[in-house]
Amino acid sequence: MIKKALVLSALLAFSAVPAQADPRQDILDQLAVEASAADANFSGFSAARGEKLFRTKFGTGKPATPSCTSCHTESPRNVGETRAGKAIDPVAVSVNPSRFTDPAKVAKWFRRNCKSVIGRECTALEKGDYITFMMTQ
Amino acid sequence: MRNLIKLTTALSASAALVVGIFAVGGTLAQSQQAPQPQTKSADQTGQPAQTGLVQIGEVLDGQALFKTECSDCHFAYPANFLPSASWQAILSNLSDHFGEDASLDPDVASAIEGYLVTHSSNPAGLDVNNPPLRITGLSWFRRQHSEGEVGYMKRTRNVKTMSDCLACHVG
Ligand code: HEC
Ligand code: HEC
Ligand code: HEC
Repeated sequence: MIKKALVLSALLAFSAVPAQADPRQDILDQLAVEASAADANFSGFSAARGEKLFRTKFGTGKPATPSCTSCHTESPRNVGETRAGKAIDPVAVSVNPSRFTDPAKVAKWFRRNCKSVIGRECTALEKGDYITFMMTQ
Repeated sequence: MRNLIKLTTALSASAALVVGIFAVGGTLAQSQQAPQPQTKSADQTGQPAQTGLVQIGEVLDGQALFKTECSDCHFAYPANFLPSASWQAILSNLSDHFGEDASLDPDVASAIEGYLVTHSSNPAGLDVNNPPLRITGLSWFRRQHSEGEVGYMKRTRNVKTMSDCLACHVG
């Protein structure tokens, strides 16, 4: 048992270092797999489409939250604010390098915020575009 | 500026304050020194441990989850500010939470509900079929927050909503 565990961790130490070093890229890679499964013509994520998603006033979700900018403000580099008045750290990766690095957190907030703002879950394409936009900010 | 009460310690330390809060409702049905939820180790039940979630043994730690999952959008309101029926109503409808989607994994939501219910305060005479959903709507709250000082603080600190306890209090 102990021996097995040691071998496993030795393997991880060698093989998994490049992948673990960039968890944001892992998340994007996974989204790209899902996006190409949904659309055979998928040819990569777009920061421009991500910016459009970020700024669009949808009006199809919950009335208090028409847009991502309702809480994250017009600039991803700004500190945002929840409806209950709590500060939200900037979402631009340049300002906040820990953004979009925890898969469970990313999944949870896309689910919630896309439902609140758009009234449905976001597609893998939309999620990848959004993260790609934030990486340019 | 007066030093305002520190909400969490004031409440856990002072049963009198909590009695005061529900003075209109009558006596407290539950003790403020409610025991921590019992947790078992994996050995005792033989069930496999879940991964990726805050847990004690294989039992999800409702208190720890409450502190992390209920504090992203606002202060994690102390459990004894609402009756158990209120927490149950709130936790069973997180996808439509005060005009927002705050949905959680069902296992996580029920662990949090377990913690909140165990530490809630239940005044006699509460209509359990129609429990209050807001602390800020309770009559003690409105009484305590009707004075000039509150209005002054709201203006000078640019407070958006009375639900933002930490704009004026220390957590
Ligand atoms: C009602 C306020 C609100 C709105 C509207 C909102 N967000 Fe957020 N968002 C938050 C909060 C609060 C967090 C969690 C706190 C944090 O990560 O700092 C968050 C976090 C996130 C995260 C997780 C980031 C990470 O580091 O993992 C993503 C992804 C996200 N939001 C996407 C969106 C998208 C896309 C929209 C628009 C469709 C949107 N949000 C609109 C409040 C909001
Ligand atoms: C996605 C953001 C979000 C998350 C996560 C969230 N809430 Fe809320 N909550 C809100 C908003 C918005 C309000 C309404 C604030 C207002 O009216 O100013 C609110 C209000 C409340 C209130 C009523 C406050 C009052 O006015 O007295 C309670 C109680 C509450 N939430 C409990 C919880 C619990 C318990 C959790 C964790 C399971 C939780 N919330 C998680 C956004 C959130
Ligand atoms: C705009 C500022 C403001 C906000 C927001 C606010 N309070 Fe208060 N609160 C006050 C003031 C002022 C008092 C009176 C303080 C005193 O008497 O020392 C008070 C009194 C109280 C008391 C009674 C204290 C005592 O010693 O009797 C409690 C409990 C309390 N607040 C809880 C809350 C909770 C919970 C929230 C959020 C849901 C909240 N407050 C939001 C300003 C505020």
